This record gives sequence, C-alpha cells and structure tokens, in this order.
Amino acid sequence: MAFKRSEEIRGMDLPSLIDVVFLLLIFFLVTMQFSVEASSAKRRGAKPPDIQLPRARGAEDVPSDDVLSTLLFQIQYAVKNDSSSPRVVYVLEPSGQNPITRNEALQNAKRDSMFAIFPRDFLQLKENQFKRLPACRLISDAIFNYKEEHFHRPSLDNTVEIRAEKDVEFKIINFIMQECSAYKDTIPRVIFRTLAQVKD
Amino acid sequence: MTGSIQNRGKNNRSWTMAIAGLVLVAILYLALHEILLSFLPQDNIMIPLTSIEEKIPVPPRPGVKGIIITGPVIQDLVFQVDFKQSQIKKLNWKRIEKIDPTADVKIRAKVLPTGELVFNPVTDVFSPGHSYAGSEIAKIVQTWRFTPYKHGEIRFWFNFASRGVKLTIDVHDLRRNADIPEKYFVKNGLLFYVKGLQPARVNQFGHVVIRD
Amino acid sequence: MAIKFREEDRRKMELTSLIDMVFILLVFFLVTVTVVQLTVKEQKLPVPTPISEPGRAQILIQLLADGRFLWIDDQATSIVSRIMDQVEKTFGYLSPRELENKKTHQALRVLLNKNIFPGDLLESKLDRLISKANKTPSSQYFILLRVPDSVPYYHIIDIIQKLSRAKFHNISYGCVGGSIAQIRNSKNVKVVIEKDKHGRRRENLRIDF
Repeated sequence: MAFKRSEEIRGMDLPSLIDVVFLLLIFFLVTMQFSVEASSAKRRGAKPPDIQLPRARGAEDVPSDDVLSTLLFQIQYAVKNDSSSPRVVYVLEPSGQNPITRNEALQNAKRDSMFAIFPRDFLQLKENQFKRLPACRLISDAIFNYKEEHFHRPSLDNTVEIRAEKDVEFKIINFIMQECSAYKDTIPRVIFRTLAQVKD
Repeated sequence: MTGSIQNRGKNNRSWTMAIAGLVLVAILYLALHEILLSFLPQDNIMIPLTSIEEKIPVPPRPGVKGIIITGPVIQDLVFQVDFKQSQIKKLNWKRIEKIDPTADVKIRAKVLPTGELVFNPVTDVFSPGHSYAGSEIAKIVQTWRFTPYKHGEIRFWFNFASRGVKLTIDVHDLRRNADIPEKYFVKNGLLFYVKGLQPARVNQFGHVVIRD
Repeated sequence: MAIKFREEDRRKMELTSLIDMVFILLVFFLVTVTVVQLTVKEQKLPVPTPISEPGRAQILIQLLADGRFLWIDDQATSIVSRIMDQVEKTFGYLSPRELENKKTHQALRVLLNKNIFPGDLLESKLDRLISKANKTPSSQYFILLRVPDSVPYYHIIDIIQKLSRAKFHNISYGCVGGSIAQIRNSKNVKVVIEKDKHGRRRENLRIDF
C-alpha cells in the first residue's frame, strides 16, 4: 500500500513538472519578445506592421506622435489640404539625446526656420535654376550636415526619410534622392511615406 | 520489510522533490536574469530580431546613364535524330548480334541541310565478309533523319565484336547550317537510334565518339 | 477496494495530465507562430540611389506625364532583334556607324509604338507580374521606375506599395527621375548576349540614354 502510494505520487509529479516548465518557458519567451519588439519599434520610430499607406481616395492619418529616427523631409501644401498652394519643405531632425516625436520636431523646424517654400513655377525651372532655389539649398545643406554628423561609413542603417502629401510632384523627391546619391554608398536608401492630414 | 520499503518510498519522494526544487530554482534564476536585463538601457544590449534585415544586401542601384533589361534565355539547339519523323526505324542491336556477332560495318553518309541522310547502300557501306549484316544495317540507317541544324559528312562504324566502343560516329566534318542565327549553340545530341544498346557501351557521353 | 479506487484515480489523473500537456504544446506553438509574424519588419520602401553606369532590371516602367506608361520587359528583346535583322537586310549597304544608328532609331520607334499603354492598364499588368513572381519564388525581379518631374507622389506610392506585396518578397524596385524624351533620344540600343548568374546565356537589351 505504501509502495503504491509512492508510485502514484511519482507518476503524478512528472507531467506536472513538464507543465510547469513549459508554462514558465512560454511566459518568459512572450514577455521577452514583446518587450524587445516594443522597445526596438519605439527606438526606430516604426509604424505597427499592418498600417496601410493612404491611397488616392481614402485618407488615413499618419500618427504624428511616432518617434523620429532619422532625417525627415516633410513636404506639404502651404495651405492645409489645398493642393494648389505652393509646396513647403520642412527639415525635421531627431535631436541629440532624447527621442522626440515628429510633431515636436515639426515645431522645432518652424521655430528654427528650417523650412522653405517652393515657387509656384518650380516645375518649369531648368535643372541648375531649380538647384539654386532656397528650398533646394536648404535640402542639400541639411543632408550634408546630417551626414557629417551621423553617417560616418556606408551602412544600410543610413537612411533619409521623405513624407509628402499625395499631390506633391516627383521633382522635389527626385532632387532629394539625387542629393543622397551624391555621397555614393553612404546613404543607400530613402524611405518614402505619405502624409494624409497634417495635424498641428 | 514494510518499513524499509516505506523508507525507500520516502527517499524516492524526497529525490523527486529535490529535482523539482532545483528546476524551479533554475527557472527563477533565469527569470530574475531577464528582468534585470530589461532594466538596462535598450540601445545596444538587446539586439532586436529585426536587425536580421541588415544582412540583406542593398538592392541593385539603377543607372541614370542606361539600362540593361534581362531578356529570355537562349536555349541551345540540339542536332539529333528527328524522332518526329514517322519513317525512322530502330536498329535492333541484339538481333544483328545474333545474326552476325562479329559484324563490322562502316557507313559513310552525308547529312543534307534539310536533315536527310543520304548514302548509296552499295558503294558507301563497307562490311567485308559481313554483307548480310551490312545490308540490314544500311536499310535501317537509311531511314534516319536529323534535325536540320548541321550538314556535312558523317561516318558510322558499327563494330559488334569490339570490346569497349561498339558504335563510333564521326561528326567532325559536320558544319552548322547557314540559316541558324549566330547566337545559338548547336549541340550534338542522340545521333543513332539503336535498340538494345546502352549508351554507356558506346562511349562515356553516350552519344558520339569524336575522332580527330 | 481501496487499491482499485487508487488505480482508477491514477488513470484519470494521467489522462488529465496528458490533456494538459497537449493544450500546453498547442499554446506554445500558437504563441511561437504569432511571435514570428510580429517580428516581420515593417514595410520600408527602399529606394536605391542612382549611379552612373547602366543599371540592370527585369522590367522598365517609364511613366509619362499624360498618364500613360511605357513597359519594357523580356519580350521586348525578341521584337528588337527582329527589327534589327530586318534593318540589317534592307540597309546592308550603309556604313557600320550609320547602320547602328538606323537600327537604334528603328528599334526605339517600334518599342515606343508597341509598349506604351494607357494608364488604367498599369494595375492589371502589375497584378500579372506579381502573380508570376509568386509562382516562381526563386526568381528575383528588379523593376526600374522612371518618373518625370510632374507626376504626383501618390501615383508612385501606389505602384511601390503594390510591388511590395509579392508573397515571397522577390520583387525589388528602384525609382529614378527621367522622362520618355530621354529614352526616345537614346544614343544606342543593342542586343547583348550575357551569362546570367546561373550561367545560362540570355539575350539582353541594352539602352544607353
């Protein structure tokens, strides 16, 4: 009788032990995964994976409180929601120590005059005239300065981000890409994102 | 007796408890370790899983001066017996071997640019002493047609008694047809249609022995 | 009696434990799968920067200012080589350089005639491309998108977003500025035979703007 009881107990212990082991394993796996994902996502200023980029018809707000991770050129209409108004480019930079949100960076840009307006006829301008516009000078200088400070050697991490309203002409974006390509492999990629409604 | 079994039972029980305790302690230690780790500054300690993307190479850079658009693969053309033709007959090796196991037959023929094989079964077939085997083989070889990619003189040598190479086909006089565009390679494919003869017994490539 | 009760008890207990184990394993694998999905990186749109050598692509899409687009893929090579053979036969008396120019001129004319499509066909062509890419996960596609200055941003985003939906992520793309006038005035169009990375020979179409 005593023999049977001890066998019984031993029989019970093993599955319970395995249960406990698996439970704790899963628990810590999940906690670690989620914490890593959340922290790295916050650090990169990334969007949650299932966000849809706004299409031509419907509009979806891009959250303006996500963290800025790299140099960002925000190109929008001078008059809100009026695609016939001149284009304005804002230079948004992540500040040194603390991560700042895109909204905060936009306020900084407005305060520091890190923005410029494109003239209404910029599409008709020739290549060298276009390059000499104050807006383009601002862009070139911003890229140069940012690269000097942050991009010390070629790497996939060196990116420049562009967020533009949906009707912004490609000429401006092309200019930004050309400026990046001037530094050969230092800036290999440019991130494109759209801006639906600017909430500021 | 019961006492000792009880004692043994108790011992085993305490063993199990000890092991369970140890496992729990280990798990608790790991948990504590993780918690402590998560309090450290996030930046360089925890390498996020998404950093795997850095190993992916940068996609090819587009050129502004020009572009090369990948086109279709150029398939090599194969010069071989054209099995689509209906009149082609198979040479039955075993049968000829039974008829004349020492048959030694040489045929000198021409491939026309249309793929036809022409030769005179009387004057172009050399089979001294094996005339029956010779005429049998000649009758069958005359039905062979090739895909029209090469033309020229082609020589067959059927040597049944030989050890090793029993069928030699001399193709070094064949030239590619003029109407084939430059970009195509014309490979030599199956140049004989022999039943019962394993390709390995002909030569290592199974098709042709090229004589220089 | 007491023994029988305990035996039954034990068997019931074993069964419960086994069921517990099964559920735990189920939860374990569910969690692992979900976690794997979460760590798929967010949709970044890589845009390679241009360098001044002829780039390589499987498909060239040139957008035109009026909404149409030029689509050149591997089917263009056979058209061009046929045109060039015709030119060779008809104008064989010309000097080599004049012949080259004539070939380029004719090839471009035919390409721009046959391969410019109205804007509403772009979506269906892209869909077809993506389904082809999904059928052959091992083949890599690089699409070069050439965009003139006046095309609005959303048009490009739409195209790029569509391309990045390939199931096996075997479509990569690049975006440069450029107009169809540059292609129309190309200095040189040639059919070149090159080995691809598997060692197979291909007839590639080279256009120098």
